[in-house]
Amino acid sequence: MIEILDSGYHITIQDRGRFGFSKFGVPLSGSMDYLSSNNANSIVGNTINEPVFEIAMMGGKFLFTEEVDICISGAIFEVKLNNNSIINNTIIRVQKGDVLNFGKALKGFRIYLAISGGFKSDLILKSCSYFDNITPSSVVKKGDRFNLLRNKSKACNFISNPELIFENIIEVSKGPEFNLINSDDIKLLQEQFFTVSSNNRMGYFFENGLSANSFSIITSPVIPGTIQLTPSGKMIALMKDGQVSGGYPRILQMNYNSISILSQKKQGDKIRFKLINLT
Amino acid sequence: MIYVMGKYKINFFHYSQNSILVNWPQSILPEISSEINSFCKAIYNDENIIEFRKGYCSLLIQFNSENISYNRFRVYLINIYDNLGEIKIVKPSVWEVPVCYDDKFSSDIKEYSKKVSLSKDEIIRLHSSKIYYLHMYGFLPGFMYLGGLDSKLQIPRKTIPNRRVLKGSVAVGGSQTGIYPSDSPGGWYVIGNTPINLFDASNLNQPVAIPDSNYVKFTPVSIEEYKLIKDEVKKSEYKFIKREFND
Repeated sequence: MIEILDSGYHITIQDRGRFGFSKFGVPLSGSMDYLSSNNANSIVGNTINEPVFEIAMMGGKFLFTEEVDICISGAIFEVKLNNNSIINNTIIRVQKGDVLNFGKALKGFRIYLAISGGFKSDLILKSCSYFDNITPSSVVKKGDRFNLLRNKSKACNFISNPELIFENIIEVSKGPEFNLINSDDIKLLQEQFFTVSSNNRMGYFFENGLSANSFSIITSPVIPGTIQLTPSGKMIALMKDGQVSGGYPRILQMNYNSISILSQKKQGDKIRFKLINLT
Repeated sequence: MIYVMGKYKINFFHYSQNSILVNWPQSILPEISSEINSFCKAIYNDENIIEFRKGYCSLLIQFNSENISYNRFRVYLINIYDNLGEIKIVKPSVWEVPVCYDDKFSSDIKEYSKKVSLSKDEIIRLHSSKIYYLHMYGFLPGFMYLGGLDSKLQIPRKTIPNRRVLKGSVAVGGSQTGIYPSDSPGGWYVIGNTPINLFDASNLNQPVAIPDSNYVKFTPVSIEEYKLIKDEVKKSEYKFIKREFND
């Protein structure tokens, strides 16, 4: 069993997401940085849909009441197993009574904890991903307990370079309303750095933006990775918990890897957009 | 009811690595939403499709890009659309949603009443006499996009949204009216509350109460009736009142 001794700043359980329910208004959810959750699951021999703990910014203390293999991947945190520092992207055997303690994020923003064989978490609408009003709680709480499953799954091999997520280039393709923006703004988009002002699992917001405008569209579908242009000229990058439709012009679309890269950014971090063509 | 598919000119946009946006003419019309819903039903079990998201006049389809390329998938969709021809559709129903417009629930009605220059009684009469077309779900799990609000009730949404609108709140904003299926921030004017549940995450096959492409009508209820219905909902004894839709 795993017991949560301290729930940190923001810890949730995530798998690949809740597919097939967006027609009822249900967001996708799932790991914000799927590259890192895939790494963590792959390294401990799980399938990539096995739920993991997503730990954001700082904190979190996990007590293990039995021996099991684990892996952490994603942001670089101060992490200690009992009193010893541990590193990302390697199998770590924890013993009965061990305490895994997350400190601050030193580089990046979100770290994933995968447990070999998985742990028990409620499956609601075909996913274990936490989301307010779908799952009983929207975050992991102090005192929560999770039984280990010891599933013998076919190991998968979705391992990517763990440095990739620390890039600051966000690859985007043109969104359906890209043509609304003027040539000066298109230039700005490609040449300027944009600074993250705030973020949550629904979206990323930036301090600087493009020209103010009065564009609006009939409420239309969006997906994680869609970048909307608001009337003030500021952009919103929709992430995994983002709503399924919206009325702001969809000017850009991030690709999968870029969603992972942006997920590792925090307030004050700067990114640049690189326009690519979909093939 | 027989419906002839494919009467609109649709176009396609390569939206992401594995998704395609299908655009119908950009108008908010029950005919277009109904056709989009019928198209969704026709392709619902397709092995190439992961899922779809609906807009008023567009559909975003995520496809399995490991099995099929964008261009092949686009041609594939065109073929399906062009060859659907006559399809059978279920005749829409009008689902009654009880709403209590009592002052206890209509927190914004004074402000709204001033803005639309109508009395509270007149607002209730106009709001509850129309039927609204359920175009699609979006914004929140179980949130219905309802079209057909009386033009006298249409004003821009609030400039500063409320931080917390209560579950069940019936609100108006812009040309739309809707119900908040859970507590949420919101920028519409709250004029009442419904005691019924609109979303149930434990119901895997049909988590929403009302299927899309149907109509919704608001039925005013007193605070006493509101409490009785709320009790029935709690005991899972509440039964929707619905009737056939007649043009």
